[in-house]
Amino acid sequence: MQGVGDFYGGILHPLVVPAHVLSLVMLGLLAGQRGMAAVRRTYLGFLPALVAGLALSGAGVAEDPEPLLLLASALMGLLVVLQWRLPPGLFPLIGATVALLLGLDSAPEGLAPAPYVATLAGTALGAFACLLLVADLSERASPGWQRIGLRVLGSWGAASATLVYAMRWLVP
Amino acid sequence: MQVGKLIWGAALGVLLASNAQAHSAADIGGGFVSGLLHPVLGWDHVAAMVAVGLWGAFLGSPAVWLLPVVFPLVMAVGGALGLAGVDLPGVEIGIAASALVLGAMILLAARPPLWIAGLLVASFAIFHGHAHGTELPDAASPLAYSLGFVIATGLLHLSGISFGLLVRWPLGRSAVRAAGAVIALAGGLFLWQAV
Repeated sequence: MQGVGDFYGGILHPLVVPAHVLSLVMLGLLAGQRGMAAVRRTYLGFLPALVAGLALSGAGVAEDPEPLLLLASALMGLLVVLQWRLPPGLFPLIGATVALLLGLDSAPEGLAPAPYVATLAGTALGAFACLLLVADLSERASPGWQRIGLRVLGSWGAASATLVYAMRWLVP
Repeated sequence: MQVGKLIWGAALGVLLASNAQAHSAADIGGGFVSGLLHPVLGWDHVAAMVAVGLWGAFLGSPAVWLLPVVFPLVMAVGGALGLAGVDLPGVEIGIAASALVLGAMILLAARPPLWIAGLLVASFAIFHGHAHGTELPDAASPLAYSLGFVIATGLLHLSGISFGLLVRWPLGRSAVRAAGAVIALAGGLFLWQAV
C-alpha cells in the first residue's frame, strides 16, 4: 500500500481486498447473530489461526486460497440467511478456517524483513478490528428489523461470493 | 455514537487509501461502481426489482423481507448458469415478463401463498442472474462488480418496499396498485421490444 506506510498499509489491506472484507463481514454476521458467547468462541479460533496463516503466507503453503475464502463466505452468508443454530463448538473452527485462509492470502510482495513484519502486523490488526466491529454491531442488533437486516446482508454476501466462486471454476 | 464514528473513520480510510500491493484499488473501485450502476441503468431490471419490493410490502411480513432475500440468492444460481455457458432460452423475454407479471400481481392485489410468491420471484431471478452472469468475466474486479450489483438490486428492492409501505392507508393502497399498473405497462412494452 503506497503512501500510508507499511504498518497502516497492512491495516487497510484486508479492508480493500473484496474477498477478505467479505469473509470478515460474513464471519462477523454469523457469530454476532448467535450472541456474545459465539463471538468469543470465534475470536478464540480466529486470532491464533490468523497469526499462523500470516506467518506461513510467505512460505507458499497455499497456491491460491481466495476461491476457498469465497466458498466460506458463501456458506457463512447462507447460514446467516437461514439463522441456523450452529453448535457452539463449531465457531472456533469456522473462525480459524477463515483466519487461516485470509492470512495465507495476505503475503506482502517484495518487502525487506522489517517492513514485511510491520505489514503482517498491520494486516492482523486490520482483519481483527474489522471482525470485532461487525460481530459487535451484529450482536447488538435488536430482534425485529435489525435482525432481518442481518439476514438480508447475509443473502447479499452469499450471492456475490457464489457468483465469483462459480466464475473461478467455470470460466477458463 | 462512538461506534458510528469508528465506522465512518474506517470507511474514510479505505476510500483515501492508494493502491494495494497485489490488488489494484482502481480495479476494485471501478468494478464496484460499474456493478452498482448496472441494474440502475437498465429500465427492465429497475422495474422488476422495484416490483419485488412493492409486492413484498403489499403481501406483508414475512414476504416483505423474504422475497428480497430469495431474489439475490437465486439470481446467483442464474448467474452461475450464465457463467457455465448454459443457454437459457428467452432471457430478455423472461426479464421483460418479470416486470409485466409482478406489476400485474400488484395491480390485481394478488395474495397467493408465500411459497408461490417465492417461487414466482425465484424463477424470474434466474433470468436476471443469467443476464448479469454472462457480463461478469469482463469486469475489472468480478467480486467488487458482483457486490455492487447485488447491493444495487437490494436498494431497488428497498425503494419498492418503502413505497409499498403506503398500503397501510386506503389512498396509499391505490397509489401502490397504480404503481403496479405502471410497472406492468412498462413490462408489456419491454416484452413487445424483446419479442
